Amino acid sequence: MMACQLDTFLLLVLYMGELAKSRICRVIEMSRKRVLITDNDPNLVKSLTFVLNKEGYETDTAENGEEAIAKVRQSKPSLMFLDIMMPKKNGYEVCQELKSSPDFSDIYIIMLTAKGQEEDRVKALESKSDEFITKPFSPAEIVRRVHQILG
Amino acid sequence: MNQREEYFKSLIENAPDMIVTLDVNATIQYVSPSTERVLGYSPDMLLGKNVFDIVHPNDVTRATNTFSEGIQTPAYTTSMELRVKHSDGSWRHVELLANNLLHEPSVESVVINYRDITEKKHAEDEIRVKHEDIEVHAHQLEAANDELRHTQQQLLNAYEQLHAVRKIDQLIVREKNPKKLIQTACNIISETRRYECSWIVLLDDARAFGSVAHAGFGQDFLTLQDRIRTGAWPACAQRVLQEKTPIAIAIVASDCGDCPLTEKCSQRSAFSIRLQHSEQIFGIACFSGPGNSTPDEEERALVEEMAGDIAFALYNIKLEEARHNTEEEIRAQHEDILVHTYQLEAANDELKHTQNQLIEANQKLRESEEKYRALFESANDEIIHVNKSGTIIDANKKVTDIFGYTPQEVIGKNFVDLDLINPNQMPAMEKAFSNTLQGTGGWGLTELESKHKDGSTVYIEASISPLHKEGKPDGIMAVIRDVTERKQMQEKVTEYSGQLEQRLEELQKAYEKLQELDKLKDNFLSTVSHELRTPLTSIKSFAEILLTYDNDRETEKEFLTIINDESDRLTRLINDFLDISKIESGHIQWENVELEIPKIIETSVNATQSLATKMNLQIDVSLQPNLAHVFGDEDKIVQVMTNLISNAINFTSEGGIIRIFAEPLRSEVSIAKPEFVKIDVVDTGKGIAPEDQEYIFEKFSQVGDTLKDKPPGTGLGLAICKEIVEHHGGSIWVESEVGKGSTFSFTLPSAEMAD
Repeated sequence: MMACQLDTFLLLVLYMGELAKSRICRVIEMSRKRVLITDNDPNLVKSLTFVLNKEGYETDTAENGEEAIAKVRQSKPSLMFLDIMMPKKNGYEVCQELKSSPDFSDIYIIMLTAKGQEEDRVKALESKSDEFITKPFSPAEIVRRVHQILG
Repeated sequence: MNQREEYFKSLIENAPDMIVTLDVNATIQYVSPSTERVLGYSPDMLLGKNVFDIVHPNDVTRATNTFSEGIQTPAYTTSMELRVKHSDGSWRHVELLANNLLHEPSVESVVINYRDITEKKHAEDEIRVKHEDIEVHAHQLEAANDELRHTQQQLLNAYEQLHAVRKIDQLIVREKNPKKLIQTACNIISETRRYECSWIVLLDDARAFGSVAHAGFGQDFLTLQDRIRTGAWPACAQRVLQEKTPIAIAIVASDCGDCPLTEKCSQRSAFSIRLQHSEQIFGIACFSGPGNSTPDEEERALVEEMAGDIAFALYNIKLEEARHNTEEEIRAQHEDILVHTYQLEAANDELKHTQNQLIEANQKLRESEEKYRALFESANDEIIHVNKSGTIIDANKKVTDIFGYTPQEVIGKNFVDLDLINPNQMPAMEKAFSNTLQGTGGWGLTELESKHKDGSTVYIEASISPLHKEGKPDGIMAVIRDVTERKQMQEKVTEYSGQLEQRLEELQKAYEKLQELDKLKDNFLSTVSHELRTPLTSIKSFAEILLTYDNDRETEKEFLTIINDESDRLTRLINDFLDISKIESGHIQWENVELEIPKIIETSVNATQSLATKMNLQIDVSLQPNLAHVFGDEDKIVQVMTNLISNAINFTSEGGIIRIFAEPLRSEVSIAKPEFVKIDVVDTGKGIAPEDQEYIFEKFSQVGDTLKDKPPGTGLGLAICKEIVEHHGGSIWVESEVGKGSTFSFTLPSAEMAD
């Protein structure tokens, strides 16, 4: 009984260890897939950060264009959400700057716009962004896209 | 026929003229029987003989020449005189008419009619002798000073006496060439019965051998000629040259010496004679003839005469030459004169032409002057001529139209004295005058103010130019035009165009404003979309998060609060959009009731009190007593107040004070009567930078970089306040200093005034 209990305990410990190991691995893997969320609306930043963290992605935030570029230089993300209407360099300018830099042109950039007009879509494409999402959006959809993009 | 032939034969045989026919060789074929009567030959004696056998040796050459020439030409006819030998040996003079009928089939011979003229000749000789006597007599009688007529008379006489002499005379008188003359003379002399040979040598001025001619001597003469050339004259000639008598004649024969012609000369009667005319010796002539008879006085005279004739002819030729030369000179002179005359005529023509031109020019000048006078008088402009001292010399009648003076009133007066020009402009005018006179510049069209005779103002336009006399400016011509009407028109036009420009500017501004409005509208829509989507995004996101993930109670509450706040914000936004849209589009029903300012302020403070308390702020209200009432929409004015107070609360740090003042705003004109009520909302917030102050009343112009700094406004509050205040006839503004706070003030017209 004791042995059995011990076995079971050992097994449980082992299982727990494996489980922990796989979780750690996944966390390590995720930590390589960092996402930078840039928007001047703190609520938006908060909601995106929340869901991506929940899905195991490492996130960073910036509330204006200049801060976003500084954050990219500090630690290069794999994916970037970029609001357009921001003070101190708008989204187009940030996107253009990053896409024309050989070091950062491989960052996947998703533009976020609250205007949703054709003009913005064209401008977003012209600034060589990879994708364009109009507010309001579904966080689940965002997560799905992030999974697809980052594997 | 026989009868008829007999008849003709008898006619021919008894005719005074004799007939001989010859064949082409001059052989006698037929001789009329009458020949025997005249020449002593029976026809038988002559038939078959050559006709020239019986012709005198001296005439043979001439006869044969004529014959051979005549037979060449069918129907050739000629007449001549020659000597024919009688059967007894004497010579008979005959006159013949030869007719070439060789080509006439019925005749085929040369037919010669001839007639014995010996008797006639003798008779002529007799006449000549007699005439010579008369001639000698006449010669003596003739005055020595009329040598020409005398000689001519002699020649005339000689013509009658001797056919040959006549011929000489005729020929030599016509002959102009001395050489030809002497040769012709020689020929003629040789043709005479008496002299068969002759030579003539001319002497030039140095008495040297000159031209030479001869006849009858043949080759013999050439030897003599060579001798003479060397100065070895034959003896006869030497003697003749040495004779001192006016006309020297040597009768040769006896002393010919070694003369090569001795043989021919000695057997004959020969003369050497000087060819002399009035002491001028032209040459020497020598004649010799058959027979040894000593020449008689008559012959001498005849010879003398012939020599004289030849000399005279030579003299004449010389004279003629001299005359000719003179004539040439005269002609040359004449031509010179002609040339001069032409030149003079040409010069004269030129002068005439010039004179005509001058006359014409003068005429033109006069016409031109008249034309200019007419132009001057009929000109539309006033033209004034002023001399150097300023006196008006001339003025056309236009002066009356412009200045009211007649030309007579101004002419002779000094320009300055007339007081035509505004005194202000006089110095400039005088300067222009002197500049024009000095040639250092004039006046183009210049507008001047001048005075009419009646004292009214006339605007004129004048141009000044110098008038030159002898190349120097001597006076001034001013052309003046009345531009009063034009000036008035111009002023009107300027005024109108100013108005138009202003209107245009207004339109331009309106257009620009419209464009701006259009752009603003686009921006507004774009901004509205942005502003609405932002809270919606938060609501949507957090709602989904709450539905998707299991969260702890606290997180759920936090997210639900966000959803709640964002919903409120969305509601405010929608309300504000509707407000401003209604106000801007005019689709709003404004209440217009009498309102008390204190009550409005109280309502507003109550509405915002909870927010202030929450932010730990104090609201201090300070009102002046007896504030005037205002008319308006209570809710809207409260909205303005609450908006301003809310802003003040939002921008003021915790523990601060919001102060509210209300006071009447008295106008400077009427102190007694307040026209507006002014309300101030003063905060101790961070203040607004001057560059932002002008924008804050525009839509969506919140100050601040991020939403973190930003209070939960919509960015439309101040724009709505502005619309409301301005709708009530008031105004709204801000005074602020960064770091110290802002004062938002607005005015409303007081109710007393609104009455």
